[in-house]
Amino acid sequence: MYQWIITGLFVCFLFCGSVFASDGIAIVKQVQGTVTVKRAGEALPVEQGDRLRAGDILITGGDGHIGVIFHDGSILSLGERSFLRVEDFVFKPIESEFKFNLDLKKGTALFESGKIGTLSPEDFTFTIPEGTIGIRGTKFLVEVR
Amino acid sequence: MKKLLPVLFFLFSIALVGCSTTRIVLLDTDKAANAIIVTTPKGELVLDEPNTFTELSPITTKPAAAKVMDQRELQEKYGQLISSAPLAPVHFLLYFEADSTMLMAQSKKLFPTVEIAIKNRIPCDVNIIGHTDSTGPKKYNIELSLRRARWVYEWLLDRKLAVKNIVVESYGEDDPLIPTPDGFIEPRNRRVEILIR
Repeated sequence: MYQWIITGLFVCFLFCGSVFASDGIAIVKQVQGTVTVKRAGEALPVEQGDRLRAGDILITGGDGHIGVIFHDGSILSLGERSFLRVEDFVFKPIESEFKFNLDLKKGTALFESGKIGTLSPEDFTFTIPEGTIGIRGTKFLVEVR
Repeated sequence: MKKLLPVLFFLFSIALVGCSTTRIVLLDTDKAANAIIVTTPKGELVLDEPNTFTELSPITTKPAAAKVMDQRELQEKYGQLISSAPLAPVHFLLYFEADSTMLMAQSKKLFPTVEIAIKNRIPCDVNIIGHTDSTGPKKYNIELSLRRARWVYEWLLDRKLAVKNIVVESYGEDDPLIPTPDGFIEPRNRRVEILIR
C-alpha cells in the first residue's frame, strides 16, 4: 500500500507568506492579542497564514489566543497566558513515518487529533508538567474494559 | 496519503490551573472513537466518556478519578477557547466520467459547497489529489489523474480565493477508494479529492 509510485507530483505555491516558510508543519489560522513564536532563541511576531516549524515555542499574553492546524489535520488552540513547545512533528504517511509531541508548560490548550491520531496514535504524546497524555486506540480500550 | 481508514478523533482541553493543578477534559466530538490516557509517574487513567475530566496535582501526582464536567462550568471556563478553535479540515470527492476530465453531474453541484468551505477556512491550504480506476495502463492513469486534478486546480484559481498554498497530486490507479483487480471499471475510483485545511 505504501509503495506507491508517485510520478507527476505537481506542487504549486501561491501567496507565500511573510517571514515564515511556506513548507512548515502547521498553518496559523487565527491570532488574537499578544502572541509570540520563539524560534532558535529569537522571538518573532506571528500572524494569520504563517507557518510553524518543529521546535517552535508558542507564547500567548494575557489577551492572547492562537489557533493552528497541523499538516495531518490536527487542531491546536491555545488560550491566554500559555506556553507550549512543538517538540516534534513528522507526518510522512507514504513512508509510514510519524512523530508528534507537544509540551504544554502552562496555560490552556484544546487539541483535536488528525491523521496521526488515526494512523499511528502511539506516535503522539502531549506532555504536561505532571506527565503525559496519549491517544488510546479503540482496540486497547476494549482490552482495558 | 492514506485516506480510507475510519477517522479516530479525540478532542481534549487542558488547563494548568494556577501552578498546582492540571485539569484535563475529554470533549465531545461527533467522531466515533474518542479516548485519551493520562500517565504520570504514579499511575495512569483512561478518559473515554465525553465531558469527563481528571485533575493532577504535584502532591499526589496520580490522576484523580474521572468526574463529569458540568456543562455550565465547561462553558464558563473554556467556552471561549472551544468556540474560537479553528474549523476542522474537510474533504470532498468529485467524480469523473470514464477516461475523461468531465465531471459527473452530481459532482458539479458540489462546487458552491466547496467554495464556501474554503472561504470559511481562509487562510488555508488545499490539496487536490487525482485518482483513476484500474482500466488502462498505469502510466497513462497517472497522467489522466493529473489532468483531472489540474482541471480542479484551474477551477480553484478562477475563484480567486486567498488560499495560502495549493498542492496538486496525482496517484493514478494506485490509491483506489474501492480496491479492485487490474483493468476494472469502478466509477467511485475516478475521483479527485479536495482536502481543505
